[in-house]
Amino acid sequence: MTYFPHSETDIKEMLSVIGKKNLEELESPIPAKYIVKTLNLPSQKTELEVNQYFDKLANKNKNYSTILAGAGSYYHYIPSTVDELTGRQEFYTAYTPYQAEISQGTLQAIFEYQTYIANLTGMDVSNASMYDGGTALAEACVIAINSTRKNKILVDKYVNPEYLEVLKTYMGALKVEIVIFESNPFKLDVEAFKKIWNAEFCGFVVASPNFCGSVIDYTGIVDIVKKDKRLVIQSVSEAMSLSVLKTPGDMGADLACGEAQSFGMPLSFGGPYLGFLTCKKEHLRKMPGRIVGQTKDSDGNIVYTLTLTAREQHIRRELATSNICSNHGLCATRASVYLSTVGGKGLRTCGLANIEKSHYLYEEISKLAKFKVEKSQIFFNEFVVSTDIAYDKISKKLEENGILSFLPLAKFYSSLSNYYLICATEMTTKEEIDNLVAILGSL
Amino acid sequence: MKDKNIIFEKSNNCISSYSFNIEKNEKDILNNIPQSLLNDNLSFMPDVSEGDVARHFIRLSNRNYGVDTGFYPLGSCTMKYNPKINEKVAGNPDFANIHPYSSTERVQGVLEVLYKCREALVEITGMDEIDLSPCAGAHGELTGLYIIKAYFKNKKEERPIILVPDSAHGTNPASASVAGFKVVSVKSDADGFVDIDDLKQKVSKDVACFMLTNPNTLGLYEKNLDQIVKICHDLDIQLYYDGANLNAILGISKPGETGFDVVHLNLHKSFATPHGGGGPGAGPVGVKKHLIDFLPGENVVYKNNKYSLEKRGSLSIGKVRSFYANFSVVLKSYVYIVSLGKEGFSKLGLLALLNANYLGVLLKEYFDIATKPHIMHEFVISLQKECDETHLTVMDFAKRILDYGYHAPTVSFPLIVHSCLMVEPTETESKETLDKFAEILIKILEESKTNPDLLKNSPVNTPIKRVDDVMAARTPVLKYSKDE
Ligand SMILES: Cc1ncc(COP(=O)(O)O)c(C=O)c1O
Repeated sequence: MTYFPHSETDIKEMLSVIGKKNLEELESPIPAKYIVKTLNLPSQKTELEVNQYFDKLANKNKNYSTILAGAGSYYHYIPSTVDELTGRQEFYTAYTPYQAEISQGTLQAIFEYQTYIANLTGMDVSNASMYDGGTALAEACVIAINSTRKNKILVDKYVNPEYLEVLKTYMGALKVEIVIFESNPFKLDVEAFKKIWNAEFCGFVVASPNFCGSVIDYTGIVDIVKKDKRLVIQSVSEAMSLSVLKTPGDMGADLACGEAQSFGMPLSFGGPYLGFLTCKKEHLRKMPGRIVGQTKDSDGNIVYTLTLTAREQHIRRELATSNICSNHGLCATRASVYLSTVGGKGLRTCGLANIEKSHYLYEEISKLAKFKVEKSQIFFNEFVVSTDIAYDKISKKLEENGILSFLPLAKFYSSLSNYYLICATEMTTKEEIDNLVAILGSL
Repeated sequence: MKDKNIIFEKSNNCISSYSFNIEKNEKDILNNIPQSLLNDNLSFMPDVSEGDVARHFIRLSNRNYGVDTGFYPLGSCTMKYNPKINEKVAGNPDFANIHPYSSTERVQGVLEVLYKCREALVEITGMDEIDLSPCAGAHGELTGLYIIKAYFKNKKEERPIILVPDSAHGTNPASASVAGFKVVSVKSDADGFVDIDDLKQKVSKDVACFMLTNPNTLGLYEKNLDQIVKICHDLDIQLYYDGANLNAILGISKPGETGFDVVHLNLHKSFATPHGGGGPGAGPVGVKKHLIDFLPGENVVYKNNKYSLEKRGSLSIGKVRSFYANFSVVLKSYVYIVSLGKEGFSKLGLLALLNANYLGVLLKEYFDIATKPHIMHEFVISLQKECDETHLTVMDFAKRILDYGYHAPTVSFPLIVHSCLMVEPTETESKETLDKFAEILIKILEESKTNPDLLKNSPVNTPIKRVDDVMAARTPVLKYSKDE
């Protein structure tokens, strides 16, 4: 399949208008020694053949029948409206909305997204999206560095390890030192924090829910950080938790960043997802990326447009707040459709279903002799289990039964060998939970 | 100032709100979490029936313009047709519903797609290795610059400077800053090529990299590329290829064979994945042998009849994103590569050149085409003279183009040409479309002389009239609020 609309006659006519004998003459600015004859690629295929080829490839994937794992990538229900409405070509084949007069669809959908995310995080401003939770965290830290002119940042140990790796890459290049706060997977120890904190840090990054699934009460450190005029950044790797949890803004954070894949993005082997970044208004001028604002057209209608562009790369070049240009706009549009479809009541019950299912699973596992849950853990949909049973034995059994679960935390934290991460969402059925528990009981 | 058409104004507490099943009541479920860590409610969220949500977004889509709506000659953005089969394949649940922490045995199809797409991109670019992690062009630039930084660090050399042409896209200098470099600009000569004398003055052992776009942002193929490569490589300065304009040479020539050390590709431009009104895209990075060890994250390998992901060695720059790649975007571009095959690629670039040159010829009697002497896949029109004579702005011209049912070309970029429009037709447009578009541009030029108000007051045929950008920036309203 090719997608060239030219007939042979068209090509001839066009060449004659240009004054060239053949297409190859158009290559003339390229030195002949650099012209390739043909690429070493397979021959073209018909659409039918392409379909067959990719069906075969898709069949080589053996998907799990039960997913009881999260760890930054959450299995949630996607309402039918999301694919249907964002699948409109007017949305998905458009470019960045530079021409506002013919881009009100994208612009308003993003404005609505900004409203949803700013409110769910208790902040004044959201940008139009970041690439993902990891890069959103890195960009949030850049704001903290630039607004305090300090080159050190304190980061809680239980921030999503994928994000932490991204942060290390970004900060390393800027010669910013990352200091890890050796906290506890289940709660924040204010006394330990006081010992390590000082005003040389530009801010503190806390994750809630953290990588172990714990909802962290960090209100005790907010005043300590603010007294030094430094920033509290909350990283949220499971945006669905915002359906019930106190907003980062109300907890005392200055910036919130994270991953909103849960609002309508399929798992898709890790991407594309939806990074979000929100802030209190005093940080607005330091925000990275696109921002949509409301304004009027010459008839006085309320309309939307890209705004405050004097922060951005195409205006400020090397002085821009970030290098981001294309972001994950269609993912933000998906989130708009998702959140509009489920509405306030739907989002709330979805959050409640996550709590109910995961806590039922937690209760059932706690009854098993060979498995232990953490009594004090406060969590939304993900929690930690420990056991002395060898990982190979567990994973073999779960694989045989088509269950993805028990992510070994030892992969990320040497102190947590024999600890595993488990997640249940609204997708999880009671049968799946009972089945998992029965399998574990038989080990 | 409240928009009656915003979703938040449509909430009517309808009886058929969306729901999920829960067994216990809300209060009992919330008992699992201390009150102090819970929000009060989601009262800001709307509750709208599904039918009304559908109408809301269909109305929005009707106020948008996509490639399927009409011609989208947005220079530097390569707005070609996005084949439907790409979307269909990516929607297959056996690709879409895969958790990134699935066991290797269960994701052989995914890994094969990644592996084979990477192989194809290696062949197309002439680089020695490709990494698929970056999420967009600018992210690819950043990744490429991290790689170059790590390369010099490993050689124990301090090289703080990145050179960028003054014609470069804004992301080039911005990426250099984010990667912790200092930016020095290299002048363009009168035609828009790299000014070799200026380059010679600016190169030194302090320079880590020279970032080029080729064809450049004027649509010119760098005529002194060999000389540029030699000047840089003599000092071990790495040559970076911003792949935004790869479409011009796709299937014709390989950046890896012309001297570039690092390239990034924009799968959402050259490889026909939809841009989505602002992403998601993908910006794979390709490198030559001496830089392979520094690539980010993980690598897909094929050993003993099995694909797997392998963490790269100790010289790797580390991760630049969560998980592995924008998988569905990579998948769509791989569908495109498989569809076109070698026969398709042998025509693609040539037809992109044909379309741009043809349109250029149709316009050159009427407009000042700044892309001289040879147009590649796009060209820049300078409207400086017209603007001076009529007191119109280039934006007035662009907005009038919207009135005739087209998307406007890129406005005011590159910065080295004043009052410019950058036109990139791409290979998926027909002669007929180009003929009509040329006719309209010429007609608008005529209007600018006979009735400039038509342009000043444009657009009039669009869903809304001219937007007040100044007001948007002066009094920022960045979210809906009930009480305002
Ligand atoms: C020449 C050039 N370089 C870089 C970019 C940045 O690419 P992206 O928007 O994918 O980050 C663009 C995009 O418009 C471009 O035209």
